[in-house]
Amino acid sequence: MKSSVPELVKSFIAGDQAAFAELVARYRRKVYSVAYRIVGNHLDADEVVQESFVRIYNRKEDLDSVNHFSSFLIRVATNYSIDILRRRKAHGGVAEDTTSLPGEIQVDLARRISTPEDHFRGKRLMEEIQLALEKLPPKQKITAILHDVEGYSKTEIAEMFDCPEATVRSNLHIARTKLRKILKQRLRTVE
Amino acid sequence: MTCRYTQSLLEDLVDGALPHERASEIQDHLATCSNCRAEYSELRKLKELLRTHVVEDPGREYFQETTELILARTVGQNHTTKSRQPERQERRDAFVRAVLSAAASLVVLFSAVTIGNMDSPGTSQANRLNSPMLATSTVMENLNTQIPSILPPEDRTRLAQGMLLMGPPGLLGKFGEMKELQHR
Repeated sequence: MKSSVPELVKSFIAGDQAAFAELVARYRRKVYSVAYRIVGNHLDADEVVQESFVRIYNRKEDLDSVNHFSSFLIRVATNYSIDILRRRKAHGGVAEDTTSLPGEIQVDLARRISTPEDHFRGKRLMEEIQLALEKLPPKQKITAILHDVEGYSKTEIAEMFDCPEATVRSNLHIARTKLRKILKQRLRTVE
Repeated sequence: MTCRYTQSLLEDLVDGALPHERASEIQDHLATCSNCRAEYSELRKLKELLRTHVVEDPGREYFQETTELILARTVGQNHTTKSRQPERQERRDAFVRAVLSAAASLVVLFSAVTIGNMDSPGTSQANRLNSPMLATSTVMENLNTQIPSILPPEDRTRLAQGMLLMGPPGLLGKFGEMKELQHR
């Protein structure tokens, strides 16, 4: 029978390495997805995924007081993603190509798309949304991603970042207002 | 219900966060107010657009490999024959290795040129071993004779590639032994 996440966390804290491996397997995609949306490229997202789980492993004693493992993990991932954004800003750099994946992965993806036109349209829309998100300051970007993209509630986000729910609402409202402005043309085409 | 009050609650309506009665009141207002209806429509479309934003899936193989790497860095089990750090770190390391190799090659070249330009054959041998960099060429001359105990095969290969000149475990660390060569 599949173990629940709290059971896995408990086992992991007790030193069960297999439990940790299972947690990695269950949450790696989620962490990658959140990280990619924040940092905007595969290389940085890859770094976030690895570092997040390494940090969790090295801080397992903190998990004892954590209510929801998933929220804690996402918090670690978003904090590290913010570090990357700050590092990038400090070096005056821009995000690496926001949509490119290593060549072999792109080939694999291309095989899975039904038609070239679908692929092009879908990719273009994804790029547009990603670019719009890139224009937001980190806190607003992360709030919009976690709430509107990943589906976390305002309460969960407030708990994740140990801030009042009112702060989450405010960041979300500002993010949405900006995104509506940036994506105005695109929104007209949505049914 | 005023438009200002309605619009302050539209985001909660879109998020499904309003109690049933309040939501009904807002819906009633929207039915009669085109401005508020347009606002609500745009908010709803934005949320729908963001919800459908899909990150390109890097593939099952990537995730399996990444899991192996995470476990290698944490649990320490040998789950993989490769040891890959985050891709950015790998690229940095490769660049540093290339720079060091190029620098080492230049040093070997300089040594060879310096020896070739020395005037007196009588003093050249003595002078060679006074300089760690010049000693490189002496070692290279004797590589195939009596020094397997000093330079094991893998070091000889590295020397030939110009890589043994860097760092304490390399050529400079073996300078004492190389001086002996001259006296054999």
